[in-house]
Formats: sequence, C-alpha cells, structure tokens
Amino acid sequence: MSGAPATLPDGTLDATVKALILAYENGDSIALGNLLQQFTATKERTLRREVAQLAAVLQTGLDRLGQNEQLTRMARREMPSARARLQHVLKLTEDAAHRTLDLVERSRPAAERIRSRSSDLAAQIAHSAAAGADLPPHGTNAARVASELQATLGDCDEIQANLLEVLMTQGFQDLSGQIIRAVISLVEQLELALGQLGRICGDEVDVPTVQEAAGSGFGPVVPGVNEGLTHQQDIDSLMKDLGI
Amino acid sequence: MSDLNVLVVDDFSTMRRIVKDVLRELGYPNVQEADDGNSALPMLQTGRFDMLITDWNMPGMPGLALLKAVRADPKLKGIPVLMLTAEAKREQIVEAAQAGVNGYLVKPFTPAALKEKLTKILQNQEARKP
Repeated sequence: MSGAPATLPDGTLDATVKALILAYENGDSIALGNLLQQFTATKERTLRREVAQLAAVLQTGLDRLGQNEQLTRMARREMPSARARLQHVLKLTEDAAHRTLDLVERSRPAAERIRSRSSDLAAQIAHSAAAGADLPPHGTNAARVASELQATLGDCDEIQANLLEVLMTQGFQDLSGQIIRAVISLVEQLELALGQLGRICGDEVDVPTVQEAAGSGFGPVVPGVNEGLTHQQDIDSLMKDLGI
Repeated sequence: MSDLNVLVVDDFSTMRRIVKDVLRELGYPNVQEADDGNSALPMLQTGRFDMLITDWNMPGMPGLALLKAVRADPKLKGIPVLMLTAEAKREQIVEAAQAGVNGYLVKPFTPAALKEKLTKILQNQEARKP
C-alpha cells in the first residue's frame, strides 16, 4: 500500500480525486484533511479570480455606458449649439466685411472730390503765376477758393466719420473670437471623451488634457443659443432701476 | 482734450485698440492697456488712473473679480468703473451693479454711447465730491 501525497498533484481533476481516494483508503485522516483544505483553497482562488474578472467586465461596461451618455449629450445638445455659434460667427464676419466695404466705397467719391478740387485750384494758381498775378488768386477767384475749401472740409469730415465707423466695425473680431473660444472648448471636451472611449476599447491613444475654458462669462448673445439684453436701452433701464 | 488717465482692460488686443482710438477721438488721449485683471490691478495700484474701463469675460482675472478687488482696496475703491462687455444676461448686470460698477455698456457699442456713459459717470463723480 503506497502512501497518499502530502500535497495535491498539479494537473487534472483525475489526479486530485485519486490522491484524495488514496488518502481515504489508507485511513490517513491528516493527509485527507490537508488535501481537502488545499482543494478548497484552490477552488476559492479560482472563484475569486473569476469574480474579479466579471467585476472588471461590468466596470468597463458601465464606463462605456457613461462615455456613451456624454457623447450622446454632446451630439444632441452641444454640437447643434456649436453649429449655431459658428453660423453666427460667419454672419458677424460677413456683416463686418460688407460694412467695411460699404464705408470704403462711400469714402471714395469724397476723396475723389478733394483730389479734383485740389487739382483745379493748383491749375488756377499755376495759371495766375504764369500771368504774373498775385498768389493766391484774389477777387472773384478768392471767393471760389473759400467755397472750394469749405466743401473740402465737409468731405474730410465725411471720410473721418467713415474711418471711425470702419474702426468700430473691427469689434466683430472680439465678439467672434469669444464665440470661437467656446466652440474650441467644446471640441476639446469631445476629443477627451472620444480618447477615453478609445482607451476603454483597448486602443493605445493619448487622452488629451482639456484646457480650462477662458474667462468666466457666457460670451456674446447668439440667437437661438443663449439669451440676454442685447439693446443698450434695456440695460440702461435696468441700471436705472438699480439706482445707477 | 481731457487729462483723465484711463486704463482699458480687455483680453482682445483689437478691442483695446478700438476703445483707445475712440477715446482719443472723444478727447481722452491718456489711455493705457492691460489684458486682464491680474495685469490691471498692479497698474491701478500705482495710483495713476482716474477711470477704469474693463471687459468681463477674460482669462486670468475676469472683469467682475477686478471690479470687486478695486472696491475692496481702500486706495482704489473710489475709481469709477465702466464695464464694457458682450456679457448681457440680466443677472450679470445686477451682479455688476451690486459689486459697485458705475456704468455698463454692451458690445458692440458706438462712440456716442461710450461718450454718453463717460460723461454721465464723470458728472456723477463730480456731484459726489464734497
């Protein structure tokens, strides 16, 4: 009669059962107890490993579900909002470009009138000089010079006013810039969500770091996206109500 | 020409340039610039400025935080502050008023509106003098 092994043999269940039977048949209760304890411990380790694997699978599923929810929210709410914002930027830039072109076109006739008057006066002065007359022309010509200069002043004022408006029109860059910054922030969030989703799926991707959105406000009012008091009169009225 | 020293705070250089040019046109040639509250505050603390015109939405220190910092500083609290911003929600305007703003001008603005706000603020300042 051979003795039962002190430890469970590696390998098949068959070998394990044989070792247990042998210990039983030999009436070696100590060996049998040890072998049973080892058998139970092995099964417990296997069970724990399987439960851990199951938990990991569940966690991955939950993460993916969370990621999907974030992506769904972006697709449903924030992407249309980004589209509306960019369309508003397009309108702002188009309006500003047209306004600037209008003002330039409106200024050109005034500049042309100034050039024409200056040219006429220069010719008259040259003619008077050639005839040996006093400079600048006097008498009836002096009255005309005064009138021409007065008209030139009017044209200069018109050009100056147009230039000031061209200057103001460039304010679109600030407004559109603020809107574009908000869209950049959204794109960064989307990039982050997609990166995390890729990582969950096992892709080797670098998850980007999202920059903190600049500033602390809501940005300019964009029709259909956010609301606010867009007329200065309404703000003045509110300020008055507030005692300012 | 006025000898008023104005500090214009805005994170967009184009807007700072526009405001500076309009102020010069309106007769205020002494204008300096800062790009957010963090850079503006030390400039204000030099005591060289009589008027602050600030944007709201800026990285670093936003305009509202700058306004609160100015009002909390015993040396600066009397400086008139005009908020020049695209932020136009009712609750924001109320918040700025509660923080002690003297005027609120929404972008895009006109030179005439800026002139009106400055004139009103300066008149109110003058009226408060003992």
